[in-house]
Amino acid sequence: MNLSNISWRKLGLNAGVPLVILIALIFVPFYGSWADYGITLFSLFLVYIILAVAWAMFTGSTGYLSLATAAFYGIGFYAAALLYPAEGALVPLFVVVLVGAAVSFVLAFIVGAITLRLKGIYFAMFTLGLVLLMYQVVNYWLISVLGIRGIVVALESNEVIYYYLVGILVVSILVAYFIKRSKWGLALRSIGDNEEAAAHTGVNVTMIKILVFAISAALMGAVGVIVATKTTYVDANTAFNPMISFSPALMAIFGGMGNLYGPAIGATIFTYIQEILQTGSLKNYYMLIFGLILIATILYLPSGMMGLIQNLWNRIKGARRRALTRG
Amino acid sequence: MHLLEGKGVTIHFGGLAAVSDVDFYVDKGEVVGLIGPNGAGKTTLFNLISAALQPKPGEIFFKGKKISGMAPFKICRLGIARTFQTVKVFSNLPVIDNVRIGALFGAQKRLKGNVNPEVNELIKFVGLTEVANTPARDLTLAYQKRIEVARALATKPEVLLLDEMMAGLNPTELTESMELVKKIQQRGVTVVMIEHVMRAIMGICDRIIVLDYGKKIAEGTPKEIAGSKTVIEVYLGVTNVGSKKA
Repeated sequence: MNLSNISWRKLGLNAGVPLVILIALIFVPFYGSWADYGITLFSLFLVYIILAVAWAMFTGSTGYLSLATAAFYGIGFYAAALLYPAEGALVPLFVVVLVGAAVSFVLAFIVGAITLRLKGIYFAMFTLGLVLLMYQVVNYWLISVLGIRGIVVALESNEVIYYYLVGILVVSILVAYFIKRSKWGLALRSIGDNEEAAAHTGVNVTMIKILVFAISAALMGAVGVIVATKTTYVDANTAFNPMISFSPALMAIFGGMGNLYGPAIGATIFTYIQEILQTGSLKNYYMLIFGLILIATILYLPSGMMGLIQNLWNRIKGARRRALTRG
Repeated sequence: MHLLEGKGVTIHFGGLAAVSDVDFYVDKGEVVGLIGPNGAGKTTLFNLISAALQPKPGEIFFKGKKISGMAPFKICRLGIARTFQTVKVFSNLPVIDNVRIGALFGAQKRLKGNVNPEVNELIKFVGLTEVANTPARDLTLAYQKRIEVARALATKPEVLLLDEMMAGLNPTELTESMELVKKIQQRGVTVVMIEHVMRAIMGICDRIIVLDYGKKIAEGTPKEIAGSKTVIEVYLGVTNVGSKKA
């Protein structure tokens, strides 16, 4: 059998392409005169790619629409605000990242245990409600208890921020990859297809849903910590901004959730569009264009950009095969 | 000790007693038929056994151990698998992955090895080898029902609950389906089947339980049931059929 050939090619694609991208990413900060802007732009790419990949990890396969991204991302902000303030960091930055991830994980675990029996729109509404709840609670605590509005976080250099984001991205991709390839990935997809049947086939649906939800939340929390050291000023508005719940979701849908590249490609394209529009003369139309592209995607490309590429590829392959058999 | 036993199993939906004080048992190696008019509570009884619902009051025992109150996935891992009246395949997954999920998550204390041989064996057993890599959604109803059977068998059950596996099948498919149930019994799996197709029920069951309005109204061999006055009354709604015959 030629099974070995196939698996070699697959391995090449599975490990080779990401490795090339990773090496390219590592060298971004060294590109001469462009470096200053480049590193900022690429940091932004990475933030949205991680959020989109983490979001798709749970929602892409289970079909549970989570809008809680901003809640976990915001937790990361406050982990940084409390442990890494401008007056003097209490612990090293990587510990803050771990704390942000851990707190997000625990909160997602608890919230998941309570709400993951909700279905469809009810779950989506609850998760959005969680963001608003976090916003209110944190705002109350800051203003009424501490008597302040925001906290200033220690500023990190662009390079440190960038490499932390690359690190979190690598972890996110590896986690997403291993979940997808493992039997748990199969279980998640079975939950997305028919949860009742999955439960009666021996899948511990509640536990798997909660765990993956919590893992994806941990990644979101980790990103939040790093972004806070970039924006340096943390208040409830920036931390629990509902747009952070929507954007990565829309980016992942645009890119296509059928495979790991989809959310990453969607996030890159949209972040770039956002960047162009917001710096150019069209900055007021960003949301409008964003919305139009999204409507077009949902109407004409239900499996996103990756679906489109896959279709085109299949067509090219088909045409080639036809040409070969005719010849 | 019976393999599967229910005592006073009851459940109410609002004011309606969907299943009311039903005692039943299933012994190892049997094929038990569960029949009754529409709305008699057959599927509800399956849901109670497989823990999609909890009896209140009432208790269900599997190998002498009380299982009512457990989560569905635990019931499955203990050794009770089921299929569904309205098919519930994993429609976006290929046949092979549908079955693989049963093999990977079903039975307890599974060896960590390769499940592919047994998955392939089961797909062959139900006759789906040719479509093993086709997504379940692209297959006919008859095929999807067989996917459910293979998926359930992959969990290594001792008891298999088949909910109207033969409804909506053409005569050829029906014959194949009956053969399949017999083959499942030969594998050492005890079968409980809900069925409206009398040819199938009378042909393969060792024992039949009849439900009507949530109550058990008769129980016995196919011959006894076919001759039972109560059962005929329930099915045909006339009282003089039995006497005419006599």
